[in-house]
Amino acid sequence: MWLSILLLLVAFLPSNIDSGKTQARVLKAGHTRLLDIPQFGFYGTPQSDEDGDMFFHANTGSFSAAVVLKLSHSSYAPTVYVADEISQTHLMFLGFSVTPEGIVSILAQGLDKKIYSIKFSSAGAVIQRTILYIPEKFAVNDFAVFESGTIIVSGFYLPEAAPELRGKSLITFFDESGTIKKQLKDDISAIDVAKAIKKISEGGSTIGKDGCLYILQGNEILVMGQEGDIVRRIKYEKPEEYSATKIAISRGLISVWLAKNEGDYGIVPEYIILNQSSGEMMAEYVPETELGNNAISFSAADGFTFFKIESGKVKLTTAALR
Amino acid sequence: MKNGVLALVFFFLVSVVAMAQCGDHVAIQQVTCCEGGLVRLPVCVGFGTGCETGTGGIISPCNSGGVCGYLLPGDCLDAKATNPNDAFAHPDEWFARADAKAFHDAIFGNEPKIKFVSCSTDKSEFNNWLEAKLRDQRKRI
Repeated sequence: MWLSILLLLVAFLPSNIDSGKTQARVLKAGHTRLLDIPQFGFYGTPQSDEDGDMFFHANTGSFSAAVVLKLSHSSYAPTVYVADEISQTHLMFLGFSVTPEGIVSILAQGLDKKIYSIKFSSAGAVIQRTILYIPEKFAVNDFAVFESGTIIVSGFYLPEAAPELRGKSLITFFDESGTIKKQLKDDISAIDVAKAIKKISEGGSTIGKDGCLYILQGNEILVMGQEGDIVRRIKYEKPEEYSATKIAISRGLISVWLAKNEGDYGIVPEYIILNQSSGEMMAEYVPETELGNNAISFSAADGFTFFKIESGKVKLTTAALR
Repeated sequence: MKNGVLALVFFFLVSVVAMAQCGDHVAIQQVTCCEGGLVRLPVCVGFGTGCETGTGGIISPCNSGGVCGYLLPGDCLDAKATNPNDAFAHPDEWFARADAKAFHDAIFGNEPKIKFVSCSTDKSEFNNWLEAKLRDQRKRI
């Protein structure tokens, strides 16, 4: 009799308790704002500066088009950053970076195969172009630029690279002139490159108020100084089927965006919150259906902001932490 | 003479197909559709042989209109619309290309073929808005 009851209890335990995974809380739709901006699409995850301004790799018809759109957090006034041709050679987008102060840089490859870091003024004018040495057969999954001018490019060697390099990760620190200051190879884990190229691209970084770079590397966040020194590692649990795609920090809270495949093209999101100083996991969140699956920014005060289109216009909805 | 011209044209077409590789590599990116939903799609990244041929196709699983990019080999610079309401080449034309099919199979295996959606007539509304903002901005700089 007791054995039967015990078996029944075990059978009806939720699967997430079986796996030791904490219960994700559901984010609910809160304040909504419809912007006077035509519907648009974008690639990857947007970035934010410390004021909450949002920066998108806008879809103007091609992933390769190096166009970043800023929407101011208060008025939603736009600023457009375009990496124009250099010596009549087209530039193909590889990544972009926003400093906490809102300075935009775009990483792009020219038809001359050179890699350029292009820095913009806050008004959207190109103010500096720096040529960077990045190895061939290498996938960039993160690009960040410090206010001081230090440039960081991280990624991994593709399956087409030499056998001894395939799947090896590499983080390179350049100075403002493009000279390599430091490279990290052995301190970071290699990846299963065959799996990595079929998953949603991982990676993301943000610069904290402590002046350190917080960079996603699989199941850990590397906290790095501007000289390439590893200050600490924050480990977190992530099921293998999820990719970590974005990191944001606000008032001592780190949020990490996770995404897994669903069906042919779908994405199921999950968001985790960590304590910035202790690294402790504080909560996991999933959005309710009404919010959609597209959180674009995070703040400790307002929670997550979700992007949707309604009546041909951009609609932003906040979802407070609960 | 006529046979020679035909052979030359055939050689040119074969060369274009053979050259129509993706950029430097393919990455599975999160892409926000024009209706605001997030999907995952392979995109060409960087410059690679054939990108400059402008022979690409664009595929979109997005439900509504708009230029929702799904870039495939060759679609790097100069892909042209073949229909006023389509952004790029027709899917039948695209999948007739041997390298495109091999690429698709490598990425999706036995998953069903991707849906193609024509862009709506207002596909350029955002681009026009963006260009106008850029023009205003450049006057101020």
